[in-house]
Amino acid sequence: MKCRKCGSKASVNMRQHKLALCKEHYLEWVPEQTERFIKKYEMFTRSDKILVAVSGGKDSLALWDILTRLGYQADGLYLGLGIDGGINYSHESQRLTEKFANEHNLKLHIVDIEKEYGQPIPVLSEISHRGHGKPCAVCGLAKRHEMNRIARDLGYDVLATGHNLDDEAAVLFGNTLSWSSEYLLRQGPVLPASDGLARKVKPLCRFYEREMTAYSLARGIEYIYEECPFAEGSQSIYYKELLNQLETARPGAKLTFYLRFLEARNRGDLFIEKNIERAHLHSCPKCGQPTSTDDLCSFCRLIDKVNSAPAAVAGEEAA
Amino acid sequence: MARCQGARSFSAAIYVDRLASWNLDGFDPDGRISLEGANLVKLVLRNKEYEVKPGMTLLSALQKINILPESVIATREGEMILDDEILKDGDVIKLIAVISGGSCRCEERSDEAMTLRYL
Repeated sequence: MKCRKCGSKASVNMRQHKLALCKEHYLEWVPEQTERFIKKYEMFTRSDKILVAVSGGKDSLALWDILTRLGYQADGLYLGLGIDGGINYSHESQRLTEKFANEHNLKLHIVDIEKEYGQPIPVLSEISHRGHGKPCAVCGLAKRHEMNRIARDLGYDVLATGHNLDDEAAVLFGNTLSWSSEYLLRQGPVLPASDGLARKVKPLCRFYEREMTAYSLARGIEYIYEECPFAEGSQSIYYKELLNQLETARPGAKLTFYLRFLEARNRGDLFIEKNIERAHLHSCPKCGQPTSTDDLCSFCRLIDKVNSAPAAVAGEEAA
Repeated sequence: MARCQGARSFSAAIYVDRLASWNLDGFDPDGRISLEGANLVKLVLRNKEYEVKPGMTLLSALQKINILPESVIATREGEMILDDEILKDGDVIKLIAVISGGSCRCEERSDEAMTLRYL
């Protein structure tokens, strides 16, 4: 297979675009496309201060790399989750993130959940009895809370995450199976700032996960290859596998699924708009972030519950 | 003439040797026989190894070992290769899994939907 631009041997083939490129032209094509998506969805400009949520994985490091190559002001935020899983998962992902930041002379903020809230994510999950035995729900909640807090506290204009098209298609697939209208109406490349929520953008939302892996490999980005120990058997991975079966049989199926959804949502074809009204938001009396409850937000209630748990239990879990 | 006969005998000897080394328990579901000692192509995905015969394309090899082409990127000696690449004797193909991710928000309990959306 030949590179469409120069005719040399191709390294990446994107069947959904009927486009094969050599390594050199692929490394030019990805930032060009990212720039196109940033402008198309009006994500941010070069005068904006961007906070990139980096996990040490391929997508977030690739995003940080691309934004930097494009000349955007992009600092990193790493959240230390305290997940070990027998493979030193959090330590290794932090090491790789710091290595990337140092090599590219980039500013990186590090927030350690255990230092901030007394316990790592798995223990917060166990003590709070939330998440049906897996820490993923608490992890997601804590990440959203902390990313929003840091973005606002440090005065960033926008928070950028490395969600790719497979991530978005898997969430869309799950929410469609359950017809979760509120989630469906909220999903998109840009979540505008409002009511104490920082503006959130997903510049990689139209790249396949395979393409971001190819980009990281071609750029020589060292990322954590091991999966989060708690991700095994997760529903999102199962949905991704199903969608990849569809993609294998019908190239472009994932892209069409996501883009047609965005078009339908933007036309107002999906659900009645009243579903997305935010009529009952209040400020959490403890952290000040928006919540639909009259009292503390879910995260602060979680932390209060953990702090009020018997000390012996917390000590055992930590050990 | 004698030389020709000798050559045929030599070929036959190799054939017999290979017959003797066939693992007759090694019939795969397609009815093929694995040939021990012959050059093979090795495909490695995380801690799993697979072997296929040389001469087939990467796509055919992935189909044979039941790996979705969309779910991996194949590299040979550190360079990415595509589905139409012909695999050669002794090739070691490293397959890099591309799927990652843990729980997604669609997994959250519906009664927590509002609080999760707005923290």
